[in-house]
Amino acid sequence: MRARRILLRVAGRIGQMAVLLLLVVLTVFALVHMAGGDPANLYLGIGASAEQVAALRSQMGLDRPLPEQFLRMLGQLLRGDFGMSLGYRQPVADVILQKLPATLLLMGAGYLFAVVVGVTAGIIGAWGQDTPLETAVRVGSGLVYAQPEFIVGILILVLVTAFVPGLPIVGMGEARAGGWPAPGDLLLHLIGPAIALGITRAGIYARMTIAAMLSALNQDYIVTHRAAGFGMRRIVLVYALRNAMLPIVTTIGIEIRFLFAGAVLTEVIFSWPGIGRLIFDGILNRDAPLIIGVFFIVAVLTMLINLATDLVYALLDPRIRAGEGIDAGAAPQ
Amino acid sequence: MNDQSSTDCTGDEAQIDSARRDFMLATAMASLWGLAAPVAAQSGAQGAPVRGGNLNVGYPADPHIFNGYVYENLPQYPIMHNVMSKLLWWDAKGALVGDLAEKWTQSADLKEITFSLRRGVKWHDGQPFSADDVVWSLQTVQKTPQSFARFLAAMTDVRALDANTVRVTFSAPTPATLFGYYVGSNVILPKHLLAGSDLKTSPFNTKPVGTGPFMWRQYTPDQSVVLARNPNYHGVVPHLDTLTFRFTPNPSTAILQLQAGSLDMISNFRGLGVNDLLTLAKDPRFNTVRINSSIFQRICFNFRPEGLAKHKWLGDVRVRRAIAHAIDRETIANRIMNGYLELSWGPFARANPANDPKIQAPAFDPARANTLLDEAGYKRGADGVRFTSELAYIPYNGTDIIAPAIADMLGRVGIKINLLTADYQAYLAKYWLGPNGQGDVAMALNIGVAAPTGDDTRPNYDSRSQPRNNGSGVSIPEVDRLFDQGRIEPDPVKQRAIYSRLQQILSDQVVNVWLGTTTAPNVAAKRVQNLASIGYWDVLHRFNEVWISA
Repeated sequence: MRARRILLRVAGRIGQMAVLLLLVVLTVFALVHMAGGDPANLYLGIGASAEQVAALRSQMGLDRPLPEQFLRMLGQLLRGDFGMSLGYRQPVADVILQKLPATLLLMGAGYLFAVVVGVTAGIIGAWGQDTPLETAVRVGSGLVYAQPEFIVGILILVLVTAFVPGLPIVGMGEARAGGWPAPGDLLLHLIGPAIALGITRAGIYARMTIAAMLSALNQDYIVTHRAAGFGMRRIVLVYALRNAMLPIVTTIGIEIRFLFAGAVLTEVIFSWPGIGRLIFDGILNRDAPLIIGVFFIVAVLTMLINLATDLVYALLDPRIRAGEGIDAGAAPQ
Repeated sequence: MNDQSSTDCTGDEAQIDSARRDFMLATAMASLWGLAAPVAAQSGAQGAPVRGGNLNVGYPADPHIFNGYVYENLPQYPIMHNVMSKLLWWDAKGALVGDLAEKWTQSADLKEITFSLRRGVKWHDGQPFSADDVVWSLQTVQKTPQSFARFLAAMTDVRALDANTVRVTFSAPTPATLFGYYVGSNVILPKHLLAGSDLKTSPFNTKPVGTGPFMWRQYTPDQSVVLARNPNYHGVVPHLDTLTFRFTPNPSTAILQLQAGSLDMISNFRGLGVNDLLTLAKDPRFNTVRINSSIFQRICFNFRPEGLAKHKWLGDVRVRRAIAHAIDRETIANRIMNGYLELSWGPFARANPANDPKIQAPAFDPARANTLLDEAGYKRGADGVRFTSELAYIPYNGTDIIAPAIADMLGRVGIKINLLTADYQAYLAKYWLGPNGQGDVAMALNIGVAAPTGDDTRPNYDSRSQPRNNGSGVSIPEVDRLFDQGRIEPDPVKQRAIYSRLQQILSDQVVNVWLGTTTAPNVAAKRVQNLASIGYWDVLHRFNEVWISA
């Protein structure tokens, strides 16, 4: 019975995802066309004559009504055909697959940094409830939360330039056969952008954790545990943390979409060759197939992550696991 | 000149940084630079050349395609000019010299050019270069949509007379200089690797084989291109072991990397702000070389029917002249741009041999501007405004600080300016080309090509040019005729007189308010030597004579 409920829930979410994807594609398509610009200019270069541009526009279907262009593009997407990137002259899927690993690596590292630093700081702050430690964590997390990624990125570059001038943190390192640098080189280059990308999130997670932990620590069962003689370490790390994790996990799951957004600026600042720079270059060049393809893939990934978050949430919350309040307790989408 | 870079007011440069995004240029020495070889702060070489080492060059954009026959853009040129060769080349002193051609002769009617090719030249893969490569290249590029194809439109025949001689025949007089234009599509490609293949999908596009001073070693998309010394180069064999272009789209990142020592040099960043340039120029760790710019910063008037219909004043030369009188060009060049804009007036850059320095800009004279506007019937209203107009620009290459200043200056003579700004693609679509009928903006502050030759600037002002080249719709039959004459006039003195007359007409008509040229300086650590050898004009860069001191 429980498995059936979960399956139904997953099926429902997949249905929602399909509708959302359609809206995403429609929105991006509309935005690209509203922004102005002619993809034929990009493809032919500005040396092309007006006749050549017109011929290419006709060949690409850009002279057709917008609804027709949209439906044709949608049909291609449904067949798994993302079209050709105008700037790269390669299939969009190939370009995205080349860049996606770098972005996932950066996001993963940024995410790891954010979760480890944020949650740890939150726990420490809660542990030091009503002491300067709690204040320090609250103020510190508020400060980093207020900093946009590009400010943090530039700041990191400035600090490294001033204090560790030889440290290579721009780019991804010297590529070897296969296109990836040596692991040590890669790690060195990953530190700066990962911190820049993750630190804002870390501030949020720290604030979330400290609030959730303090709430848990003031519950009756914690008081009972204290009265029963349990040590503070065990109370905080086992009983309070476990109960505080639910909103934290939910927030972390939702927040991942912002990492994609942050990756755009972080990758530009650190010359990290990932999806973020693809989006940046694609928008500047009006490379419509590339823009739509990237947003489609990012949307799919974000929705899958949200679905996974939902399922983890269900697993963590015994009420949901038992089939109670699934709808009421579901993570916000 | 190439049509690619001769785009009129289309902001082609914006793609360098994409756009992309660059830099341009200087003041106290303004009277010196532009007339001579590249003006350098301290660019002279010190000591004997040292062989070896790698030069890390911060570069604003990854062109992604390294074959001008498939797609050409400005970010491609400085990289590709180190890998590929042309028939002709501009040397570091601004002279047109042989590259793959050892010498060339033209028939009296300028309809036939015979190239004697260098002997013993080899492609980077070891295969011998021959006349067949030239014939195949010219025949192939003529069929592409690239800019050089348009210059070759009159080519009726190209044939190898022997292994080292090529004869090109045209149906109309044609200057040989076009084989040295700085487009990306007049390089010579290897027939043995490309004949019979689909150029658009060829792996050559990301792993080119050329005859230039450096050989392709490694390309990591969006990160770097590594080139290695070509020991068989037909010119000066590079001193450097390797030359690495590191793609650093963010100018701030590039500066910090230069300061940290991770980059030896930054090149062709037109996106650098004036303050960045001043900071770098004052830093004793670096040398700055100001290379002659072929890029003009100017105000274009919209003479196309939709522009004239909406803004009647555009058709009145008194109003255009009043605008020129109202704009304090000296202040823009020396105080707003802090010298990183070299004043000149007319369609040609100051270092362009076609330029006639005697033809002067209307003096900054707001009183005269007010008088002209009154005479033209544009009296001040109760609010002091005579009329309201628009100035469109791409925030790039200094326009973001120049445009508000212009709006302020024009406001003082009663012309209220609404500033319109957009990125490159939107600018083209909304304000300039206007395929949807929106291209009726009155004025645009943007770039135009002003060098290296008089003919290079022709597409900007020739009524027969493509709309996107002559974007402001200039149509003066006498100017068209003079461009035709100047293009093929073999006598330099007569040619200069023709271009002087042309410049005078354009100046009298005030078809633009030319501000001056801006250029992207090369900024390098002091250990980088002989920077002046890189090139006379921007974009035409070769690094074979640069070395790194011990």
